[in-house]
Amino acid sequence: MEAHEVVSRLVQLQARRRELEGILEAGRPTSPLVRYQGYLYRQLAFTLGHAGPLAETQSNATSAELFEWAESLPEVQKRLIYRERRELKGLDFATPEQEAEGGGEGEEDRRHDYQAPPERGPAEGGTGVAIVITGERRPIFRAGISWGLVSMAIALFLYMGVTGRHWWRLFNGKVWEV
Amino acid sequence: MNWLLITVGVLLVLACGVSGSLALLYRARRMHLREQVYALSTPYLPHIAATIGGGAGLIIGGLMVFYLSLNQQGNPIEWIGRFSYVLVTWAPAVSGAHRAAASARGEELAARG
Repeated sequence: MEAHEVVSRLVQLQARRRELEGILEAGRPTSPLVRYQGYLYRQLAFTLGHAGPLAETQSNATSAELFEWAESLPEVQKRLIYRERRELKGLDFATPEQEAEGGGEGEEDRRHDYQAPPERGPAEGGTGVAIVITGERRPIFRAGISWGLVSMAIALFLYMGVTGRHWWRLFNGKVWEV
Repeated sequence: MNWLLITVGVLLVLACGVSGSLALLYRARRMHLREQVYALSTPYLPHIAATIGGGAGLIIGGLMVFYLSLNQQGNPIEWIGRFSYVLVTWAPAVSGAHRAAASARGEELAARG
């Protein structure tokens, strides 16, 4: 996807350069200058003040050129831009609608009603819960690792001993005597 | 949350308290040495410094344990932001210790006449 964005941006810049060269050669602007020359690469940009009709127009003007360039590439390189299509299974493989059991008592939980597809194998107890790790955040304390906590407790205990000894000597020192 | 984690949390709070008390004691000792040049003395100076420093250290340690128990994640940006609470706690503690020492010193000078 990033490669596609980079290539699209390059084509847009080339088109813009040709347009500016034409304007400079003519000596005066032939088309009204636009204020926003941004590049739309996120759909959320529409809602963040970077509304993109100009960018869209620019994209439409260069999309045909981009398509021709991509079609002229070898098959291996073309596969980097156009990913292999995902083969859809069709309506016959749709999960049949079933009545949820025990919906009247307590809070509803979709995980209890989830039924895994057959190719994923039978789930234990007929239900499955998918755990998706969405970030790379590293926990400081991990469950099950107690030696880290033990060493931390020992280090803190030693630190408190040394610091407390310093504190006691300083608090009861002769330096406070007038 | 097991007993070992609670022990580490309590030790961390106590270590912060002792560290804060010791830091203000060192600061009070420097102040006392400067006062000696002018033949001044502040009564209960080590007690004031140790008490206020210990209290501030305990608050800072409590904040650390609170945030560690809230989410045990290692994002440095979050911890830089949380570190501002340490500054917010420590600065009034030092200022308060100086004010308390100045007040005690004023009472001592007034008693001398």
